[in-house]
Amino acid sequence: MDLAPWLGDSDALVELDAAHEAAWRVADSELLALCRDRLGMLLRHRTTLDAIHRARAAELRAWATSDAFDHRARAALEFTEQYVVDVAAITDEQADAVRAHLGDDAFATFVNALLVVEQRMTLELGLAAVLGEAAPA
Amino acid sequence: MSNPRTARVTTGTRASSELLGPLVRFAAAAVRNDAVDPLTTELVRLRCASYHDCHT
Repeated sequence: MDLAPWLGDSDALVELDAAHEAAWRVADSELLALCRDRLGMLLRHRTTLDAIHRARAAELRAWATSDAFDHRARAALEFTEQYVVDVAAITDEQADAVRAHLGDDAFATFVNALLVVEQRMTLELGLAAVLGEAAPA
Repeated sequence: MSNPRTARVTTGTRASSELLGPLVRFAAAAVRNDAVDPLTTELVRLRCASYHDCHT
């Protein structure tokens, strides 16, 4: 969804785009892409869903029991799922599991990157659901 | 109610400033946006506070 018709008259979109681009530069992009795909599946974000191969979606759906993902990926996926369900209920154990693989600074960066990716998806979904696809006059 | 928690990263931990800069500026730009009516704005503010576990 093009956000420009909705946010184009403020500097919010410029900063959101800058944050989104930075997220992919500074965080582990492979891990972030994995979590982006799972975010998109859980939020039913159409653009993301359309870009996920069917086999990849099946693998991701079964990540908890699949051996296709290493401990690092599994920790990040569990964190991501809890983030979507209830971010305030992420447990210390779930946070520690990701931090143990990334280190403190990279963990903090990863969480912020995840926020930016999720924020953009929910913004697009929210605007489409509440306001429809029609751009403001 | 949220889970009781301890600090999850050590003192001095910093996320990438390259990411935090535009993220903070985006939040500020969103707050400055006055195109939405006050009641809806307040509802969104309260929802955001809950989402972020903010008690201020």
